[in-house]
Amino acid sequence: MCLRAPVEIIETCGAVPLRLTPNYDNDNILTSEIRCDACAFCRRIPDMLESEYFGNIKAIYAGACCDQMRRVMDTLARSSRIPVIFFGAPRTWGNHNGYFYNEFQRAAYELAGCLETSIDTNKLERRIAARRELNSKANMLLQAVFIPASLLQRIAASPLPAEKTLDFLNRIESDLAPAEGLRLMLAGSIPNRLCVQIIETSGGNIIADAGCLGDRVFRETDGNIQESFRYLYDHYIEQNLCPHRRPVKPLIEWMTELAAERRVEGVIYRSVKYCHPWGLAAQQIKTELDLPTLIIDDDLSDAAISTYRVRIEAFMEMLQARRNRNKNR
Amino acid sequence: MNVPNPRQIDWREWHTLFRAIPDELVQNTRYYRHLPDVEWSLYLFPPSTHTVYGNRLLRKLRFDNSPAALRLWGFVLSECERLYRAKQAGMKVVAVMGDLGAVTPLIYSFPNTIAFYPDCLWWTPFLMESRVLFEEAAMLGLSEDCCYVRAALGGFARRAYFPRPDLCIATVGATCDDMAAVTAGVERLGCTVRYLELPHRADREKSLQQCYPPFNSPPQSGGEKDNSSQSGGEKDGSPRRGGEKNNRSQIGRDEKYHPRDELRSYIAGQHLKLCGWLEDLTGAKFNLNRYSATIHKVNHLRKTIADLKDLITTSGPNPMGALEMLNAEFAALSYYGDLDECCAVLDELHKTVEWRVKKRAGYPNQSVKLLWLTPPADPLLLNYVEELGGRIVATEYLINQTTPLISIENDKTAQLPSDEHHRSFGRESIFLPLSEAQLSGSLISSSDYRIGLALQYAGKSRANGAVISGVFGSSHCPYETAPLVEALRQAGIPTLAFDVVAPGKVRMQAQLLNRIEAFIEMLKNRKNANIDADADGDADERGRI
Repeated sequence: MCLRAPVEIIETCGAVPLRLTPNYDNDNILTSEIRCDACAFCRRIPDMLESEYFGNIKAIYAGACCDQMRRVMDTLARSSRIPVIFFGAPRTWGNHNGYFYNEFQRAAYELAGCLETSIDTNKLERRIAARRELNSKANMLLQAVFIPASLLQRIAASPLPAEKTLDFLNRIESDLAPAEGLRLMLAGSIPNRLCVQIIETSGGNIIADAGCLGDRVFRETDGNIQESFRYLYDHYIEQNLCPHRRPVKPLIEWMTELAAERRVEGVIYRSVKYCHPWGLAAQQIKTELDLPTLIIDDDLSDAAISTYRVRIEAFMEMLQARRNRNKNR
Repeated sequence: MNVPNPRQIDWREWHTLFRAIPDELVQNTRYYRHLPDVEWSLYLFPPSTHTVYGNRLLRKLRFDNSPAALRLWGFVLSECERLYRAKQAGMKVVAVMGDLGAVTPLIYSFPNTIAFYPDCLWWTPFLMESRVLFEEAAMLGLSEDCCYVRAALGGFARRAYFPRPDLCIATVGATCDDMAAVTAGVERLGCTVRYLELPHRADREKSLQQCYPPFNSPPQSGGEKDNSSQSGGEKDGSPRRGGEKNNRSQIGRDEKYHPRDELRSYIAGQHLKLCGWLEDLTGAKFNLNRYSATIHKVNHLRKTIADLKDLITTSGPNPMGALEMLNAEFAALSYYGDLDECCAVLDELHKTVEWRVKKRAGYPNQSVKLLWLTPPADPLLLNYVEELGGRIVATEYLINQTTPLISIENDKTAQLPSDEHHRSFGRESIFLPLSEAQLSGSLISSSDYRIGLALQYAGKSRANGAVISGVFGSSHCPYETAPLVEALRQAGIPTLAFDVVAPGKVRMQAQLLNRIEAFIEMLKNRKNANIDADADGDADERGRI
């Protein structure tokens, strides 16, 4: 599921983590009982799980995030044949970890039990080390060169082990170059590939991605991996920068720093319709980032794509004009 | 005091009838009776007075004609004024958001401290027939894809609906996302919000016991011994560090593991945190006697409300209007800013209803028994259903956490004399009963739990049908409505589900009223068919219906 699910634990259990992400096929027929005023991504999940890609999954593993994510899990637990392993996670910052840490641990062992295996702590440490190495490499590249968001997001959602992805990054490293053209930040709810593609083909370079499949996936955190659960808990739960957490200030501060560090010229804030944590924070984040921001709120349907494209193109033109004006001055 | 012929009357009629209310009664109906010289604290006025103050919808509503109901309305509608008066009188005003009545017993146990829920402003745009609060919220980023609680943000921005709170507390976690968005907006307006965490209740004890096999790997040496205390870890509530290997073996082998106990302890820790904030705010130490006294009052109030709800389901004509009952039920949230007076108001209402039930007095022609799920933001809907012949005999207004009686007698640690001990571990156990009550909330758990409640209430009240008044854009209605409808219909209870229409959308409102009318008509026909089948002694026919 979302960024609160530690893939290292899944890998340690000998399973492959398949992250749920929206695909191209926007207008798939929705058959679930979830109403249309639910988050456009959440309400697609039951149908996504029926697709061939998820045909052989053994369990759904997720941590509590926003209220709608929790309710999707509840819906799946009631209606799906697949076991749902769901753990509580804090929505506030910093303290009272005891309860949630135990929840986190229990879910890990519940997953192991469900997969009829055990958690080998040595293996877990190796998985953590590999993922850390990948994150470190990705961050290094993100600061030095430009990785197209369409590629970065594919890497973030990839079911491949970290070593394979790292190997891939090493091989393409020499082909990557600094970004030319408009420097954009992408923010908002989980995007589908088409949305990212439209930005990129309209002349925008997403050099900072604050969404659920972007830079946040590769954030590096300190900690002793010998204490593997503690490390994972801190990394995935405590330090998770998601807008569903309160107060929302740490996320905004991180986005501000990222925008400054990557010299962002404009922000495309694309929230999914009825995604409350992102959607309802849009105006606040726009004000506090103080950058040209395009706020788009759509329902992941094909019908919304044309409007989306037009608005992106207009925004690009506006940013380009602004850049030219600044150059002339 | 009891009116022989209970009726539902409009504001004009109350205006006329009010002349018959003795002056002495008006003068003696006051809030904040503990304050000297409280000339301004009278609140027994006819609805017309509140209409003048801007609650325009009152002109369309129908009210019960008893003095007890008049007093209740006066008390409810004067809450806003009361909050300002409290502030003027030097009392501490605490804004509480998200938990809906779970933590207010603790707040009221501090001297000169009252609480209110900005969340409850959600019905103000309906009551005032004005979109001002929604427009204000929209300017701050919360528009129509957020539920009606966004009116609370409008209230904070307008600074005219309640005084600036001395403390803002918000509960997040297994609460709705919309309210969490409101709290972020409130922070943006410059108010400091203190957060409490409410984890979801998994309702999975049984499944967990089955799911957790003893872990395959043996316990490892090294690290701390037994560092996996079920109730939490270090004294400050933070976990103990290190040695997850020991943790793992302990958790895996503990067959007596009960997640609910652990959750309860965690929430009690949150209450302890709140207690600290309140001590800082008021400058007064937590006092167990005062807390006990408050809990007794709260329990009395909760019991009165439970009794009222029971009385409503009894046979005979409907003894009290659904709107008055809604006001009574919501009294359990923050006691409308005055716990003592709130108890007195509900006691009088209880006496009236009890008397009517005894005399079999009530409104005529309200025979279709209904279960109502989710509180309607638009009060008019309840009236409308009653006008058509419906009678609300059971409700699940998402405030289940305010219904259990809070036990404090069983708590031995409550007697601990040492402040230091209280501060560390023992003190949070005082709040275990309070957290247990909070755990009975229906929003924090699975849809199955709420479905179970709905079926239980429908069975107990022998409801002929169920109405679910949802809120478009809320984070729970899109997920709960369909399973609720399905379960109720499978149980043979016809169910109507709709979203309450925002004020000013007249055409949509007309469609909704049509649907309600058709539903009640269908239920009446069904009921008549049932009676016919009973008369014929045709069991098969009865079963089919």
